[in-house]
Amino acid sequence: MMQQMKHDRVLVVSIVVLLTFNLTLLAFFPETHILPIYGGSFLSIVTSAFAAIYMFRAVRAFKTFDRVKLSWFLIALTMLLDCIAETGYTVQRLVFNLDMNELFPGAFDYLWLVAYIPTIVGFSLIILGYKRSGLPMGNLKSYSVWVVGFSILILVVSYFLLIPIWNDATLTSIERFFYMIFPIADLLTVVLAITLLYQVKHFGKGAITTTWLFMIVGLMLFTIADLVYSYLTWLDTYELGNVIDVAWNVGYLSIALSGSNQYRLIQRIQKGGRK
Amino acid sequence: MIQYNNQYALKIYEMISPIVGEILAHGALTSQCNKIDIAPEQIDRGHLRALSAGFQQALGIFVGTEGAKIISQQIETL
Repeated sequence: MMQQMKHDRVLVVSIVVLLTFNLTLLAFFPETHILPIYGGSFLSIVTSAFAAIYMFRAVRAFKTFDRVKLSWFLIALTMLLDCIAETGYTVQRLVFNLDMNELFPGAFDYLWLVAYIPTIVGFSLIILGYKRSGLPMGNLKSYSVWVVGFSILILVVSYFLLIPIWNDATLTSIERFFYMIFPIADLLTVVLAITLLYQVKHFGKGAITTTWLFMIVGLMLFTIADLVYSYLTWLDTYELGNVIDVAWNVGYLSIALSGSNQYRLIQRIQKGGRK
Repeated sequence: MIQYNNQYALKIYEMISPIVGEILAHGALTSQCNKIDIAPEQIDRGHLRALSAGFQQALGIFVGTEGAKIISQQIETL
C-alpha cells in the first residue's frame, strides 16, 4: 500500500524561508524603500525558478511522451517563460532604471502574454483527458452554480477594469490591448482552474488531490495578482515590492509543490513496479 | 474508509485510494465493475484482466501511461 507522501523537505524549507523574507520586507519597510524593491525582485525570480525547476522535474518523471506528459510540459514551459520574463523585467527596472509603467507594454509583457498559451492548452488537455477517463464528472446542476459565480466575476472585472480601460481615451491601441488581454486571459485561466477544482472535489484525500489543488491555488493566486496588477499599471501606480507580489510568489511556490508532489507520486509508482 | 468484504475489491481499493482519494477510488471501482456487469463484492480472479484494462485507462490522466500500466499490472496479478 502506498504510504502517505511527504513533501520535498528542501522545497518546504525554502518556501518557509522565502515567504518569511517576503513578509518581513512588507511588514517592516515601506513599499518605496530599496529593500522591498530589490528583495521583491529577487523573490519573484527565485520563486518562478522554483516553479519551473520542480515542474520540469515532474515532466522528466513521466517515461512515455503521452498527453499527460505534454500537459505537464506545457505548464512547466509557462513557468520557464514567466521566470525569464520576471528576470528581464527586473533587469530593465533595476539595472537600466527604466520606468516600467511608462514603458508598458515592454518586451517582457509580450513574453508574459505568450506564456498564457501553454498553460491554457495544458489545462485544457488535462480536463479533456479526465473527461475521457470515464471517471465521474458531476451533475449539470452543480456546474450551474459555478457558471453563475463565473458570470458575476466577469461582470465585476468588466465593470471595474475592462470597461474603464476601453473608455480611456488617453491609451494607445497597443496599451489598450495589453491592459485588456491580461485580465481576459486570467479569466480564461480561472475557468479552467475552477473546472479542475470541481473535478478534484470528487476525489477525497489522495496524492493527486493535493497535487492538483496546489496547481489550482497557484493559478488562482496568479489571476488575483494579475487583475490587481492590471488595475495598478493602468493607474501608473505599480512598483516592484508591491504587496500583490506576495500572491505571485506564493502562486509560483504552490505550483512548485504541485510539481514536487507529482514527481514523487510517479517515482513511488515506478518503484512499486520494479519490485 | 470504505470497507469491502471481497478481497480483490479491497486490495484494488487500497492500491488506488492513496493516489486518487477514497471517494474517487470507490467510484472508479464501482464504475469499472459496472462496465463488466458485476458489483465490487462479486470480483473474482477471472475479472481482474478486464478490470485492470479499465483502470489503466482511468488512471492514465493522473500518472501517465507508464504509471497506469504498472498499476494495472499489479491489479491483474493480485
